[in-house]
Amino acid sequence: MKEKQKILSLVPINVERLNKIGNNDVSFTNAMLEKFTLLASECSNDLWQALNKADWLKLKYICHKNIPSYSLLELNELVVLLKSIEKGVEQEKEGVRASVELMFRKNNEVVKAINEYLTLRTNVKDPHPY
Amino acid sequence: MAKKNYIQNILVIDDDEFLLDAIKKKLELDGYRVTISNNVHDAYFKLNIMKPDLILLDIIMPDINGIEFMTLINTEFLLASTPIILMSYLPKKELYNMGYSIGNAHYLAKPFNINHLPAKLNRLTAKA
Repeated sequence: MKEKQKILSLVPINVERLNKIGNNDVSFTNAMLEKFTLLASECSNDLWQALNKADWLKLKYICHKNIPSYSLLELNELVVLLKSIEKGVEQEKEGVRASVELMFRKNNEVVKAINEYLTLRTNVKDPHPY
Repeated sequence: MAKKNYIQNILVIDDDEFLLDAIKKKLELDGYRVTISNNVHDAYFKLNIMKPDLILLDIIMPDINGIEFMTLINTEFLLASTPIILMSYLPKKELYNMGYSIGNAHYLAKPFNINHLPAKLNRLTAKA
């Protein structure tokens, strides 16, 4: 039990919500988590590219597109950050750089935590109920 | 197990593939047959070969937005009797300010809890 709690505490997302969507289908939850790590990496890269090209419309679109996925996993801090970038683009443009940098760091932390969680989870014989 | 009501085939169009996979899984477990498209070109192609009973359509997408796409497919595929649920986290008021009207379509505010989606679909389509 302690091991399960330790694993659960590693991941900053609501895994239970994914489990419920897939009716406790472990392979579905794992596939979604893996997919999210790709999405998060892509989100970081796209934000950087748009910022460096000063492509404000694209920056706004990237935030808008990603908010529902981050919300689905209840990554609320990052949702707030995406919303602030989206709004900041309309108001101060260059001022959003700090938020994009923070998003990049937070995204890396989440991806790392999910990967660690998936590795540990595959080493546990009974992956339920998380 | 197929649904017993009149809605069986659902087409979901959203450029967020993560969300698409989650919606598909949830609705399939609830007994619907679900087809997904991550862009309007693919959705247009699929509408040539299928007749959905319900369309879930994201509003903000690249190339053409969901409201414009809804108008296009209503005309070309004669889908006037097919319920369409537009999804966006833009408030309805903001859509009107942008010059868009959702017409007879239903509206589903994002983000929503996907675990509540089947019940939401039932409620929205029951009002049709």
